[in-house]
Amino acid sequence: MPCGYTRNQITDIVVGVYCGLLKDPTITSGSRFGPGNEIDIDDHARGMFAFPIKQSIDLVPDCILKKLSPDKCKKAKTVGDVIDEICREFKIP
Amino acid sequence: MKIFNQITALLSVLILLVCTNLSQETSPDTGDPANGGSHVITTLQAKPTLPPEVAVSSKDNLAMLERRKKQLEKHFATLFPTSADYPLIADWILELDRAISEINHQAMVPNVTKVSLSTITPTQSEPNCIRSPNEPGFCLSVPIDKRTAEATDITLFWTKDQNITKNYVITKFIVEVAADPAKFSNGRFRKPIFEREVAGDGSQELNQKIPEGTLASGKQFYWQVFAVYQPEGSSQEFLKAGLKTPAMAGTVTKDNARSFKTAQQNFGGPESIGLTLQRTVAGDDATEAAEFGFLKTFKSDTVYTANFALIYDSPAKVTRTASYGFQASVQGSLTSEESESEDSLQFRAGAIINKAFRENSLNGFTLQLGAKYEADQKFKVGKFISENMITPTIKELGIGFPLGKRSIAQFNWRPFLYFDVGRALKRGNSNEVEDAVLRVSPRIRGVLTLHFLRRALNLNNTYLYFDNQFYYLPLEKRKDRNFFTSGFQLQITDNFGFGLTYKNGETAPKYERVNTFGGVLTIRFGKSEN
Repeated sequence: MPCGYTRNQITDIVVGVYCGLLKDPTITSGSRFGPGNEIDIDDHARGMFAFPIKQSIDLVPDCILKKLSPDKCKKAKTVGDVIDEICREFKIP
Repeated sequence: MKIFNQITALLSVLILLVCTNLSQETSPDTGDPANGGSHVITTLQAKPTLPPEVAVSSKDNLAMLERRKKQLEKHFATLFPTSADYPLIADWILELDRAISEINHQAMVPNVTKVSLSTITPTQSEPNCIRSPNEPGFCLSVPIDKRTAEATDITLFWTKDQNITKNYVITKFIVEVAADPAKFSNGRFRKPIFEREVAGDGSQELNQKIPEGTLASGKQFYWQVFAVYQPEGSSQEFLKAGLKTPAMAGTVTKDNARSFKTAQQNFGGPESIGLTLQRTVAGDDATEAAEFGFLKTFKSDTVYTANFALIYDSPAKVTRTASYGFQASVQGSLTSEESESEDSLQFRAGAIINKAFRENSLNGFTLQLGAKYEADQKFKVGKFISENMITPTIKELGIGFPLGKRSIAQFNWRPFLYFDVGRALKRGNSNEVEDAVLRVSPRIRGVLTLHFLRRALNLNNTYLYFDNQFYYLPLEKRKDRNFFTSGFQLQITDNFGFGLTYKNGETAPKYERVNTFGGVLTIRFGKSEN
């Protein structure tokens, strides 16, 4: 059965994880990673977000993330890139 | 030699133990939500419960199906595969599983969203975007206040209304940009250069791209967002500005506009005729800038350098708290002529393992277990080595997370521990003279981002860094070596940067003494980073 999440739901979950763990309620899908940007953490720490994001997405049986790795989270330039990666995996337009 | 063999054996056992331990991670963890670091994340990880609007019968039905499935699974475990009941019970369990999934799927998707939405609501004891239930509570998001070197076609982002209780309806948002921060009494800019309305009913994303040509390069601009809302039972519309920064509930903020400076356009000409410059032709990573370096060895000649790393990552296998991937790379430090500067080529392949210590946490470690061939640039030295590295990420210690204030300067640091064991195939003129190679090597890297300087100079980024690697070589006559690098980087725009470096010490594979001061110029244009 295809995953029933919508892009908005994925966005809410992913943004929620970043806001919650970094205690920064201003984070949105446009927030950028890197020094001087909105999310100024190093790339290893950026990669560690793959786990809490997976833990939050995997609550629904048909929506189990398999491809979002720490490496993909490290390479993302914005929170939106992580959202796109998840939507791509679930084939959400 | 005996010691070397013992250490090799010890390392093999260690790697085996780690792999055995990690392989147990392949099934999803069932971490205790009570261990969650914050209230927010505890909420996220709470065992999903059915929302009230889902009929109670579904809830009961689900419990009943799960009970039946459990009983059947118990019975199934006692059956022989040759038994007639075996395929029947297996089918029955599968059917029940499908029915359970169906109910969960129908019930949980909307509920998950509700759960996750609550995660963007911080606790009242922390600065937040929440206002009174009578007016919208939201914050400006991207760019951060006083951001420098922004693109002239920047996209502005703001958060959703984060109030939980709402006695109003937001009809739309108004985005304003101005070069002059002067405002009317209602808070709107007097001379906006850009204004746009965005639907407030959720049908549009909460961001607004500024069209090319609106913003001049190298100038300062101010931006703000208003929610237009109607209190419940009223048709009158009111304005509420989004908060510039999160604040404690009840705090009155005087100014709700953020500012940013646009970057100087340095490469508009070459870009307009379709030219692209980056580090390599083959690479398609637009962040890779071409690098031109020089290195001045104290009391000696100047040589030219190139530093690069080409990395391939295979898709990783990911569980809830760990990931396992394969990485291969070529890393080079090359110089124009053999000199006292360090030169090396390293060909690596191995496993990359990331492991979170527990659920709901960013704390964990990255472990690299691999093999590498280490050579100098003329391949006179050649060493085959098992390279193993571990680095932790611990938020409470600031490892990976910035310490300090974004308004002034922030410090990032990260420790690494390397354990190398291997054999020299070609010793060449390396100062590591034994055939057996054994290195225990702690390394620390720190970066001090100078935000005040970045803003003052309108640069993309400015930072000081240091990197120190200590080598303990128990098989060598001289057992300790150290290599220290520090530098200052001025990232002028996304396209263009300049850095100064100082290097002192001895590093693998030759461990020749280096004491140099140098500079590096980075240039990239043509491809957009975003």
